[in-house]
Amino acid sequence: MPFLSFLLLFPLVGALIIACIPSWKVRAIKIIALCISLINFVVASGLWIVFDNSTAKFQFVEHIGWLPFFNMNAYIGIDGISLFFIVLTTFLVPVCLLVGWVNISKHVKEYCLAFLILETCMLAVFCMLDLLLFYVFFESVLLPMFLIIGVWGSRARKIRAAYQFFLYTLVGSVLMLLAILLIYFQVGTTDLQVLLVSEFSERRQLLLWLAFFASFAVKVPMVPLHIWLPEAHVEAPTAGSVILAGILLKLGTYGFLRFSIPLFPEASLYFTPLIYTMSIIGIVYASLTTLRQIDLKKIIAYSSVAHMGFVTIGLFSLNVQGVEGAILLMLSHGFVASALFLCVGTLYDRTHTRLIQYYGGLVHIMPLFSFFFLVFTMGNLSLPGTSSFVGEFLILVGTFQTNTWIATLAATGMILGGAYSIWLYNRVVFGNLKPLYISMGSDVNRREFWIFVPFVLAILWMGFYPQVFLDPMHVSVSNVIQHGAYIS
Amino acid sequence: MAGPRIPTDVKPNKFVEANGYAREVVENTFRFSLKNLGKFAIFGIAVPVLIYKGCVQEFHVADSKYGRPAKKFAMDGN
Repeated sequence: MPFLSFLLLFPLVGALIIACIPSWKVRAIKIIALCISLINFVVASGLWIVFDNSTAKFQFVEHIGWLPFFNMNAYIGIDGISLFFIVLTTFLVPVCLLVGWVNISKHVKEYCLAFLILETCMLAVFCMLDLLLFYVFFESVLLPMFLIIGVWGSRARKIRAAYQFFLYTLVGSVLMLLAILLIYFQVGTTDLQVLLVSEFSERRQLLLWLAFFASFAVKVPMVPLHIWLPEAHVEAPTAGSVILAGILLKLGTYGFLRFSIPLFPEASLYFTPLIYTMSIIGIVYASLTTLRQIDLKKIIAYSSVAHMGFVTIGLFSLNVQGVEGAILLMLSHGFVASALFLCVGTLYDRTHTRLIQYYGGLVHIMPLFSFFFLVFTMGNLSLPGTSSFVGEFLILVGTFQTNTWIATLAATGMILGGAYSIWLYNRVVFGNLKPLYISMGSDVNRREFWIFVPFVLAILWMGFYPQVFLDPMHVSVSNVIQHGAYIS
Repeated sequence: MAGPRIPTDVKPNKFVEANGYAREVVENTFRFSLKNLGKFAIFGIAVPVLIYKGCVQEFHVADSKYGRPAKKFAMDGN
């Protein structure tokens, strides 16, 4: 059964069906888009169930002759590393459609089309086993995202933010394209499975690693290449922020893990202190910047930069604990940050402001919202029992084995994370209401309630029983580490 | 849960709005000064260099402790 082809093509088929429906049939468009994304989620969950944990080989592999004369073929397949990103992607897309159910009133058809096409592109990035096609889909994600920010963004600065997002990521990626060409002319193919058994000279590895780094570091984003992220988050609609935080940031770290680390092992070791330094700067500076922000979305955006710093440290600890912790933290961040953006969206829908000075005492009028916000805030500060704690703990364990100095500095990020998360919650939820600015508010409605519930369950499930998530990735991660001969 | 949706648009305060706007258009309000440059030298150069050197040093100490040949790193003077 071609599961992956189905996953990739089904949203496109859905997009074609929706394109044929007249724009005024808004309800039918929304329901079809939601059903398609939900079916995709069910299929992706099925992949997780039938996934064989005992092998590092790519599974559900399919092959489509793309440019056979040039030895370029579309191989798709997944292993324990990409499995959960596929599940996460298919989980978040229906959420995005539900978030815009009421609030998106203009260009609804195009909104649904953009998310379905974006889903295909994101899934293709995680499935693709060909370097060139990976690049194609890695870049193709930009276009629907550019439109989502530019068309459905909230304020006047949205066009500027959309351009900034597009240009930053595109400029970084040009170097990667050159690197792929260099690889193609050396090896004669861009098939990942062939490249994994090819060897590059140390000098060439350094060059290629830097070119890949330029692309992935912008996407992660690593400080100081992060400027586009807060701007894009602030201007994007809630669903756009959910996808940005939940999936797009992971494309960079996934790229490091899938390509940079196994293909260029010597260069990865050579540049490890550089990655560590940029990550520590990212963790500490972004956390301190978070404390200074007054826009709710910017607070979560900067905290995302700090969390992604943790992820890159874990990846480049180059041991099993660190890498597994990094993957777990990526998944956790996909749930926690997305849920926090949903919370901000819930507030924004009611008050049309994100400035924190206007908020206070929401627990008096929105108790259910305050509960959900509490769970997600605790997830953000990595409270034991939540998903982020497991990821950050494993990262610190892995990093401590390789470099205690970096592990110690990274641990300060957990303290700063606690500081900005609790302070954020305190300012928004506790204290007195500010009737001078915000008079009354309704608590979460039924749609919002059922959007929040799966996030709470996922965060607690990953926090209390992470083994379910670690088992499928363990063999694949060990294989990446052994392949690069990183065990010393 | 649920209940009627009550429109509760914020009643804007001009000082809060002005503060929010000023912080947003940093590209227009930022001016280079000696104080800025000094901060950049400390937080943009000195601190990262310190972290980097500490990190490399730690790797070299571990290599010598376990009798391994010293690893080569980017921008490493050794």
